[in-house]
Amino acid sequence: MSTKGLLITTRYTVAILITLLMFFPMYWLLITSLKSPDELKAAIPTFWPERLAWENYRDAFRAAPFGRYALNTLIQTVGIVFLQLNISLLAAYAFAKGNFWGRDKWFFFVIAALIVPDQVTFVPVYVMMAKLGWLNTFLALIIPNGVSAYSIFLLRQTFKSLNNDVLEAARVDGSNRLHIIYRILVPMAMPTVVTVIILKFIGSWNSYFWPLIMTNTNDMRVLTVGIAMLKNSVGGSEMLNWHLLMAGSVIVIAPIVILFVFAQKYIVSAMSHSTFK
Amino acid sequence: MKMKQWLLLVTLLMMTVTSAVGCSKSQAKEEATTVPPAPAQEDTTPIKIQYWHSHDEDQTAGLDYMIKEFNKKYPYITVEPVFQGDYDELQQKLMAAVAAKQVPAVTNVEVAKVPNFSESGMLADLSPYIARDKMDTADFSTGMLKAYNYQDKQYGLPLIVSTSVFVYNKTMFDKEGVTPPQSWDEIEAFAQKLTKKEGNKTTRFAFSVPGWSSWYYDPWIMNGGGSVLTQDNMSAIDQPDSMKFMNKFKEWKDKGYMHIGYGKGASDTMRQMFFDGKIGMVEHTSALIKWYMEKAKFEVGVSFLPGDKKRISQIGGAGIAVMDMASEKEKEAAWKFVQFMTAPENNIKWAEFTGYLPTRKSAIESEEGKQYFSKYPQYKAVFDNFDNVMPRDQHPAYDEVSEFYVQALGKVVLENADVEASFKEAAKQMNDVLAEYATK
Amino acid sequence: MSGQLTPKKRLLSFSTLEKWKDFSLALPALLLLAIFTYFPLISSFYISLTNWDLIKPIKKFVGLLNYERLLKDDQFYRVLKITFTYTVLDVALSLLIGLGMALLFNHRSKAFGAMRLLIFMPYYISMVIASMVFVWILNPEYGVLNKALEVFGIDKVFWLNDTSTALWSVVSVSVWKGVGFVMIIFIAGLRSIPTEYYEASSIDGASKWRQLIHITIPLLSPTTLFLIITSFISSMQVFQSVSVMTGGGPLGSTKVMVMWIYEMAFVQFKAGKASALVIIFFFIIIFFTFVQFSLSKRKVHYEG
Repeated sequence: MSTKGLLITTRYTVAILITLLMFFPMYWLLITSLKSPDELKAAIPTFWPERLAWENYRDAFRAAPFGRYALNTLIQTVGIVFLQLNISLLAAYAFAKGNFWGRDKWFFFVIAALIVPDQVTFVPVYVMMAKLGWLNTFLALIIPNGVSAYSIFLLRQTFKSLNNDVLEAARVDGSNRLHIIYRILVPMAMPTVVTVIILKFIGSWNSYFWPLIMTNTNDMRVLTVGIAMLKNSVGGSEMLNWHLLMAGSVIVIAPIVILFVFAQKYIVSAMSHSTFK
Repeated sequence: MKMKQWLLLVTLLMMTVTSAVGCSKSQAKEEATTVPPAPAQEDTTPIKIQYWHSHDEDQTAGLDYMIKEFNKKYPYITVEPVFQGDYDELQQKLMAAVAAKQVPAVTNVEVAKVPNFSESGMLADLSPYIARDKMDTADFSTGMLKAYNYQDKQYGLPLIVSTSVFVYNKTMFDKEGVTPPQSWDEIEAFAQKLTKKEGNKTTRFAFSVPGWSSWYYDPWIMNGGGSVLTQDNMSAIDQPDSMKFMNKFKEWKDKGYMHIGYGKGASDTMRQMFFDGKIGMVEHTSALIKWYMEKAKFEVGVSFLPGDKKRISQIGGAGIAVMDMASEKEKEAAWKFVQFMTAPENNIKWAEFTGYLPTRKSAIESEEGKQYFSKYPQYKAVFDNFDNVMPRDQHPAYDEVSEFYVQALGKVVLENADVEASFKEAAKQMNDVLAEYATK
Repeated sequence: MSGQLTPKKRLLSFSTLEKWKDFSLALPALLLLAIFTYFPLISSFYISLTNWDLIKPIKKFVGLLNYERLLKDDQFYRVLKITFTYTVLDVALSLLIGLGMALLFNHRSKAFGAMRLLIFMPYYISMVIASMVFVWILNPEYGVLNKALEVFGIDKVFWLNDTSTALWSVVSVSVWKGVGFVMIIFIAGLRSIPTEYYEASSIDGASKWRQLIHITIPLLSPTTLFLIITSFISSMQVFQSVSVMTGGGPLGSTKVMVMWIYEMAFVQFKAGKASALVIIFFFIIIFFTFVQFSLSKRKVHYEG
């Protein structure tokens, strides 16, 4: 009993210590955003602000239009997630259950795209966007990101593992493909669908490189680009503007952190299904 | 048969896509050199132009003021300022814009990037406009104007000009009874007096030179009698005169007199150490003189860089330029904006707003200019040496090759490497790139 | 379907139509990939054979000159080595720590659930911000880490300005941000291992350690493979954290491949050479991904 008790106590202690260590940078981010500039330079760092300097947030909002950035980010994110999910569902069905010429060869064509980094493709795509007149519009932010090999891959694996009998029955009943995908397969593959949505949501919300290149004006910038610009703008000649940068950062990450803290349980169980089986 | 049908379809689709993308490539021939039209009667149809810039937070108020004033003068021209990050990021955005053939009309151009930008045809030659409108360019400080001239064409005008100076803690200097050294020979005695040590560890450095950018020690190279490039554009960095400064730096550093900041964030550290009285004197950009005066809790003095065989300092900051790819109408509006931003009337006001140097001789001599110097006497140290502020060596690969001797210096500073060996290696690397460039 | 009585000819055209319908569902994805991934890749290859400077409309064909120059350049091998060092450190540390944490935190209770939530949180935030926070924590003068070390009498460390610590600092951000994800995936793997295996080996008198080596780790191998391959690909492409934290310095000690490509194209105006580097890099990644797959084919235990 006592050894077991000791073991549990040790496990809890170690776990709590690790958690504190892991969470510390997040805590430090939040706390720095509420410190006055003088307190940042204190000889002994304070772990709780002497005075909560909420004006840092006011100043951050004044330095950059974060409201507009947030709206742009939301439109971009929802656009990408929506487009990718639907395109991936259709393709995943075709590759898992469909029957056409060279199906698996085409699938390899999809998978190989995983390896191509953004930095390889962006110059030609940028020129393409310019020719179409899409630069600095949501089209340039969303359409080139409309397909994800990774999402197709995950969904195809799940669809493949689902029983064919239900599909056959539906086909005999005369259901068309869209009906089969959205009414039968999606509910059955819900955990993977949710995983795909979550991963893409996080990825698109935080994407930096693409929107940096594709947008040219302040009113089209997204949160990540905005905060990087703020860093250059206030970090240039002023030193130790960390309170402002951290306040800006909190504004950028707050929506996504809050959203996912509430959905955490679902996310974890969904993500657990996302590896290959 | 069926196979062929869909193959055909896919191929067709691919072709339409690629041709849509590829087609206008052939149209992208270089236009004939621009000859600005005779100043036809003023065309006042409203026009909107973008100004891409790197003016940071501190300069925004000044920029807003200037644009407002510009609008009073030309109500039909709307200037939309767009902050594009620091000089490197601005450059990247500009290159992308040119590749896409959608460019802003006016932009900042950092002085070191002038050769590169000019040579690639990114910037419009302003010389014909200057000639047409009879702009008095002799009124500009000669060195500053020259910095934006490449192969006898004026590709921009100086807008925010800085040079490197020594900013010193006057309160400390007065107390210790020292004055800033005027030549390299004076440094030993000066530093001995000012440096404080506890055992082997220096607790107060006499002075600091930034190691993170070659801009700060290029003048030291020149002053020692050396140069970065030879006449025929090969590396001169491993010649004895060019390495003289580095041998001196090493000596001063080993004696504990000198602090050399290196890498990202080193600038913050250096400034803070200066404010904390841990460094007596720092070499930094003149753009920050005003900032130092505001932030320091002691009296701040400014001194021109000490000399040896020569005594010069080099130009930094950015100019304002017109993009060649903009339409004629945009260029005309852009040129008006360029003229306004660099005009003598606003020169002092702009300098005061931004902390950068006035560029116009007439402005410096004006009543407003005199007031400016009485308000900021520290700037006098710069202007007393006005003619010794020079442009850097102009070479399109300058940015790229300077990286090598920055690294050589870093090796000496961080890893105590041998001066000669590191600079010889840097020279070799520089020559590889320069040779590659020559065959391009 | 086979039971249906239809004339042979009709069946054929009917099934062709069906095939077309199936194919049309894959078409949007295939088209987008062709336009936004493969076309740019091919055009990069074409650019790599020229001396294009990204601005002038003229491209001069130079054959394999760019490739030749790169392969002769010492810097190429240095950058490659740094990129691999980074990748190996990042992948190995994330997986080892992640596995350790999975074993520790795989406990069904509210408290542990809450702790997992906190550990997973950095996964949501953007790399730019994560890097900025670390730059602040690692600040030599005012950073909380150096202040903490001072208590133990340790002298100031210039984390990001020292060639011996800079790469580790960049790795640490990535590990911090990603280890929660690795932990979650490993926990899922752990929970799918049937408990009978452990019961059986306990009866045989196997220690916890032996169980870990002989049951847990082998049975986790599909999960591990998944993690290794996905994190290998993303680690090789590291860019943002380096650009925010060190800019490739000090003394080029953190200059990774994508950083170099980017510099070459946008700072040095050498689009041709940069494209050649892109193509070489692309094949390096393909090669190693392939090696990992084929090596693991023999070693991974898949559940039946």
